[in-house]
Amino acid sequence: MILSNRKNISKIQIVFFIAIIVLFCSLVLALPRISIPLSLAYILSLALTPIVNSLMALRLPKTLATLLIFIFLGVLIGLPLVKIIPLLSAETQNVQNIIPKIEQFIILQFQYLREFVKLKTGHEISDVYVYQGLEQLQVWSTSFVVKIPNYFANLMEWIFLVPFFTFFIIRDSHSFQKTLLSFTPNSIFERFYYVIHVFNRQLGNYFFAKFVEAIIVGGIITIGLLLLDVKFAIVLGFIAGLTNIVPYVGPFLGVIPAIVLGMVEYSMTSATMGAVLSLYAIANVVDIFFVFPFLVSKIVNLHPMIVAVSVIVGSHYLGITGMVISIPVVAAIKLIITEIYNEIYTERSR
Amino acid sequence: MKMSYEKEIKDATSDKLELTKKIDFSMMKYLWMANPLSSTRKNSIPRFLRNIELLKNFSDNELRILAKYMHNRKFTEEEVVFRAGEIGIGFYFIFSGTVELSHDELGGEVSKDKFLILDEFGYFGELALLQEGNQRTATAVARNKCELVGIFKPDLDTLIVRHPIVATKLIQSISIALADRLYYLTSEANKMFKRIKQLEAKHDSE
Repeated sequence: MILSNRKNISKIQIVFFIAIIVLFCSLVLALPRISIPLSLAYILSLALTPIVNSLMALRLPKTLATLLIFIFLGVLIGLPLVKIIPLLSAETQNVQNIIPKIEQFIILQFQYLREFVKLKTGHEISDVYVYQGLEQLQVWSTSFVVKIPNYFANLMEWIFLVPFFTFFIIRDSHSFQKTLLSFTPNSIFERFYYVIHVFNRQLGNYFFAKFVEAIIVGGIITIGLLLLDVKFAIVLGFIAGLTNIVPYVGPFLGVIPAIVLGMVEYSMTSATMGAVLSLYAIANVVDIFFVFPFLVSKIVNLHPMIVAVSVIVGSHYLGITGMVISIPVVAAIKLIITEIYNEIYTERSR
Repeated sequence: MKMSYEKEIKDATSDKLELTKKIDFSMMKYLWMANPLSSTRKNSIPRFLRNIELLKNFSDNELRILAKYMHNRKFTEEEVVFRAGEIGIGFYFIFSGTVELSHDELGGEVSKDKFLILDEFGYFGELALLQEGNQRTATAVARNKCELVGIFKPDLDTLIVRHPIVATKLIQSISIALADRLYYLTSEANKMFKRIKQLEAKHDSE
């Protein structure tokens, strides 16, 4: 038989190994309901592993170190959550009150504009588009409201799954890796191990840097908004920090809720609005000139065009998760390609 | 009629009957655990590492931790562990079998002049753990079916952050071996230098 022939064994090992990897990858791609929480858990575990490592250096066992972090995070997130949930439902009520206000505001502004244009040019702008747009908006929002239980179910699933996966990835990643390596063929073992090590390290550094960046940006905006005494300061700061993780597009996404709320609560030309906008600008300038060059850009050295393309492709396939993970994944692919390139062109041709 | 075991014994003792013989499980378990041949794999690697001269400054517990971060690799006869010129990241101990290290001047071909044969408890490739982008200076081939226990650069990185003492001891052990080798090489070079000087003097006087 083919299997009993000793000479074929290394070839069979490679085929078996590739088959397992392909199977795993296709499973992950085919089941987004599992793969999204799994990748979120992986990202979280990458950001938390440095803390586990330093606890282990204090001679704590790994399971205990992981548990300690989870208890700490649970208290840190759980306690405010208990306070926030009633606040959040109150704010949702507010938002419901605000939506008609926004509608009125848009119609009013449009009427002003129409009169203004008529006065200056004598032409009358058709108002069909505006009303159509508002209607469309209403349809979207109703469909969103109808789907809320669905989103909520997903969210509940994630709330349980993500910490569950994260805990076991942190605790057992070493033995997972060891098992994977145990059936890596001898001929590619060292190179494969090196590549997955650099891959993990790069991804880990990237997300650690991104989390620090998000905390800095979110912190600046929250504190600034609190000082300006703007409504929803904490929620807006949190959104700004979170969206900042997405490169290029993120800062713009983060400012949209602030503009909408500001327009309704104050007005487009008021001093508060100006202050809020300049606060966002300052936070992003600090990010672009002081945080990003020192933290993130040293880790992933990709051309801006590649970054933009990968964010678009990522958002197309995996939504927001895709946008977040696209950059490090592309950086990792670049690394693997470089490794193979070195192998083919520099090592063998010497 | 079924009875509980305790009741059976109680009745038997009260009736002064001979007790039925039962298997003594705790004794069996003790004998099984104490059997030197049935040691589990988990124990056998630290025990193997204990016998290596290079790691003599490790405590038993430190060897147990080190063993957790090592990888078992099985090689069949004539299988290449690594080739000269490849980028290496691994330091190997020979658990069983024989490994042959050879020069390789003719590209990928393994040349005939073998210069080192290592067997059980031997180790090779320690430079890969210390050097950045280390290139293997020799080719290692398994001479027969052998089992190697390897530690790799990523493992050392993890050890440094998780178990700094174990990592330090490992680096210390390798450094001692390398320092000894450097000392030997330096004295050899000195000898050669003196010999060259002597030959030059002899040549000049002629």
